[in-house]
Amino acid sequence: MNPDRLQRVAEIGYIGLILVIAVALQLEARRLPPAPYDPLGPGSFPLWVSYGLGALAVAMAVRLVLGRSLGQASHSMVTGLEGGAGHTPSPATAILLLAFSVLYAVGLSVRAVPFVAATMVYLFAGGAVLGPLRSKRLLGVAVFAVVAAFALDFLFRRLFSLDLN
Amino acid sequence: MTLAEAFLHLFSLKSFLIVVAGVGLGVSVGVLPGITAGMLMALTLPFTYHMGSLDAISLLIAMFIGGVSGGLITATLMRIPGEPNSIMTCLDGYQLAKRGYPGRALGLGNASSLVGGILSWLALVLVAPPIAKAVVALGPFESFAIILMALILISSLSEGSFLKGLSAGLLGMLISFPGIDESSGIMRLTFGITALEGGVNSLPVILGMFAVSQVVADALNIEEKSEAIEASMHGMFVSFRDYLVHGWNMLRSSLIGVWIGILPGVGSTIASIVAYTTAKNMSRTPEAFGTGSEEAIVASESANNATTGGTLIPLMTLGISGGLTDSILLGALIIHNFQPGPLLFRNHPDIVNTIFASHLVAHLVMFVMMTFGIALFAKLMRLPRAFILPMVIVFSVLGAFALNNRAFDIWVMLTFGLVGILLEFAKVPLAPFVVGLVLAPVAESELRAGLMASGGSFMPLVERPIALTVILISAALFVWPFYRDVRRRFEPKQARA
Amino acid sequence: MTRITRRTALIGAASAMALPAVPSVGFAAGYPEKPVRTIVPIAPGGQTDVLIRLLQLAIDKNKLLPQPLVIVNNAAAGGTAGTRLVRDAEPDGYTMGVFHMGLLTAPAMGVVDYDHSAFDLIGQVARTPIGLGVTADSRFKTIKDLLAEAKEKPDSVRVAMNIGLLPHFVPLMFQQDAGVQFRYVQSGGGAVRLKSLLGGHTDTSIFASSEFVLYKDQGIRPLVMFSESRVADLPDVPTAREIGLNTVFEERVMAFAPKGTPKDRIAVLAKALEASMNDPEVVERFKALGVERQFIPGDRLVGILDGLKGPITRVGDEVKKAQAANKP
Repeated sequence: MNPDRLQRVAEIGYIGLILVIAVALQLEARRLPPAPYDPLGPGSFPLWVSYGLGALAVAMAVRLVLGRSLGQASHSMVTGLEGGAGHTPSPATAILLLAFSVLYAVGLSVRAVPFVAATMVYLFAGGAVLGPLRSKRLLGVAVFAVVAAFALDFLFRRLFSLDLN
Repeated sequence: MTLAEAFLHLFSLKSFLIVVAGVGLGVSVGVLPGITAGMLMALTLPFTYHMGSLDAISLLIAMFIGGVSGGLITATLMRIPGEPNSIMTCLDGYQLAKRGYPGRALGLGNASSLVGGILSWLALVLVAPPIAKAVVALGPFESFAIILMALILISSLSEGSFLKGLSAGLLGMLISFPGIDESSGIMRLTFGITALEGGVNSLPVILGMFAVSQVVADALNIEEKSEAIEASMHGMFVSFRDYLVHGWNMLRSSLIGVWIGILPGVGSTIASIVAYTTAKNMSRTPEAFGTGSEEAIVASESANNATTGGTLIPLMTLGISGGLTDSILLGALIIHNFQPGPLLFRNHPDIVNTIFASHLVAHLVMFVMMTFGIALFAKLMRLPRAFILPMVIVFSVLGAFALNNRAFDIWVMLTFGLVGILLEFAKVPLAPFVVGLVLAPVAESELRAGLMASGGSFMPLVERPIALTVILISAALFVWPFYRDVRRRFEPKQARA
Repeated sequence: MTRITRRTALIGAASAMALPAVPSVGFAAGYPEKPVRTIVPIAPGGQTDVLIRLLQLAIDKNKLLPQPLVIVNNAAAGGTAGTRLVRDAEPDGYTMGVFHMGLLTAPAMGVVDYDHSAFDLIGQVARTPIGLGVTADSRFKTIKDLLAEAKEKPDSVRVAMNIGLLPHFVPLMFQQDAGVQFRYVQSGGGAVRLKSLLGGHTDTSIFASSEFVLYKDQGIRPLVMFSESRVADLPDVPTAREIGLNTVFEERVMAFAPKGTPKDRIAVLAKALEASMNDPEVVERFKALGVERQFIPGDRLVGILDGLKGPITRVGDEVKKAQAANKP
């Protein structure tokens, strides 16, 4: 997808997202009871924000429909999401790493897997996809994963007694 | 114990080693994305119970200062904020490093951190009591007006796309709403989800948006040969001339940092954003901001270190804490039998002078350590990215989790990683989001506290002179970018005609 | 009544697989065999957190338990996230919670639907007298002055409070008992309320006896204390009873376990906590913090808390009335 098209699609997604949020905020904030002591109550600020978001979403949608640009941030805070010159981007790698991260979070939240094991597997799997699948490299990643997992376990679970399994 | 004696005491071998260890650990967690100085201090607190009180407090202060400073390294070399307060440094520090001057970027950042620290130390030592008096005089309406002034930043940070920037600011604000409403005790906007009752903490949100999304972007470009950071650490030493060139910026940004540090609950992230924006608005080359501007690095890094002295003022004189780091310092003082307040200065000059001395010595140690240690960190970051990127995620996960020992915070972080990617694709500026996120809860609770005191009347906002003045300044700041845009659009036409 | 959540079921399954020969529950012999997770619904550094950490250290130092207490802070949702965690934990004696009177005020605020009766109480480990104070230059010289003005001009005396907690609930109880009406202004913890009074933004606020001693030089004067009898540190300050009002309320720090925890295990924890309170360092630190070291065992504590339930619910109703009156 070329960058302009990608930006356009993302903009439509963004407008959709804030519209949904604005509506959800309206519905939920309207149901809130008044506060005991202040006239604004818990609902006023969320309502104001939802009006603002709604108005901005509509304004942006109108501009898009009229074929006018929404402009772009003068500088970006995350670089390289659109790939770069001189190399092939690897979306599969990025998506796999993200998926592994989600699985890792699942593992830690259900507390079914001990922290050491989950971390070891995650560091290995993450490291494995981030490069060619050559046995020598994988061995290095595996050693790193084991050492790092035990070090992290000692540091965070033993020493700092985080409530992890 | 006088201040001179406190300094002498700190230079005894044991105390000095404690400061060095504290700064070292602080810088290390500062470098690690996700793990903040606050967490390190929370985890260290129990270990300090059996230390001598002066050593315990020195250790925590050293960690506090090391932590504020270390984020610079990761921000510059990897474009991932090591601490939330280094997000602005990511912008220009990384660009300058990529252009082949990583040493210059880090050296400037380090020098600015030192200057910010020293200036805030002067404020702390020389004018803490009068400042404390002024802070007491500020009521909820004045505080609201001041926060409003900072919120106006959203408009100058939205440059390029006003609609997008403003909407990002509002989006950030709404993140702070779910959970118990601080002003009424009513549970709100949880959409029936029990985990949301605990609210959404800003740290996992910032981690997700800036660290997770950057890791994903780096994974996407894993094929890229990274040569930028291979360049030498040449330029680590900043010359006297640099201090002169950037002197005014350092002073201005440090004052901003001190002032914001004093306001409870605002913190160093906002200080760095305010200083950055101010420097940009006052710069002769604002277009260089975001492309590796030296001024930008100087502004961001002097401001975030300058908050350290500012934060200690209400902490020591009144016992008021705003963030995690100050709450832990406060807790440590109380555990060691020192109750903060004006009495502290009279009854316990030993602890007061130890805090003063540690603050300055820790900054000096930090400066030396960063100067000579940065090469080491830079080497670490040259490890294969297959090792580093998953580790960054693990640290972010642990950092999010450590906040409240809740898995929910991990999910918040991953979700905002995705939100960050969407916003970046849509070219929505992210800085306004952070401003809204951090400031909205403070603005809301101050305004509503004021309304409770006034019996529901908004009039004090215009009747109280300080509040009115600040509101007028805010209005001017709000209009300024529009005015400037209009004028800019107008000028080239004239030139062409 | 045991709640089996998916998570505890999973933990149960996992540990059953790992340790086929788990001794049957009910024998305190050998208990505890692993660290006891102690959930503190307060951020690190807060008073309740500091107190339990002092006891934890004393337990460790004097070997009062074969295994340490591991403190887990979870301050989310005003402490209710933490109490919920304890409530939903496996009642095996390896999880306990330590919290203050927020355990009773949170249900009155309607934030949660359970109170102390959802737990097996281990005991009270600390108690702090509290009272109302003003600044030195306040127009109120005595508590009678303050009540007289509040009676004459309802909604004029501004109280700096921390909503949903004792600095909010106790003035409400006092106003009910005295038949007056205060104006409530949200401010926050003790230091923030101090600042609010010093800046003249509010007129009066609740402070702990230890805070009155500490803030004396900053010009904070106690007008009335809400203890049974006069507080030793503040011998000149009358109690509410002395002016003919029946407001008696104190801050308490309590340890509790999930409902259904074996009695003998609770007894082991209670004994360790009680013994730790006699450690000389604990004695000294509690005194310095202005906290009374008074252990009340769980069965007696239940009675006390049940007795406080009535006044707290009445106050909760008062808050709801204020909400209804505030409807636009």
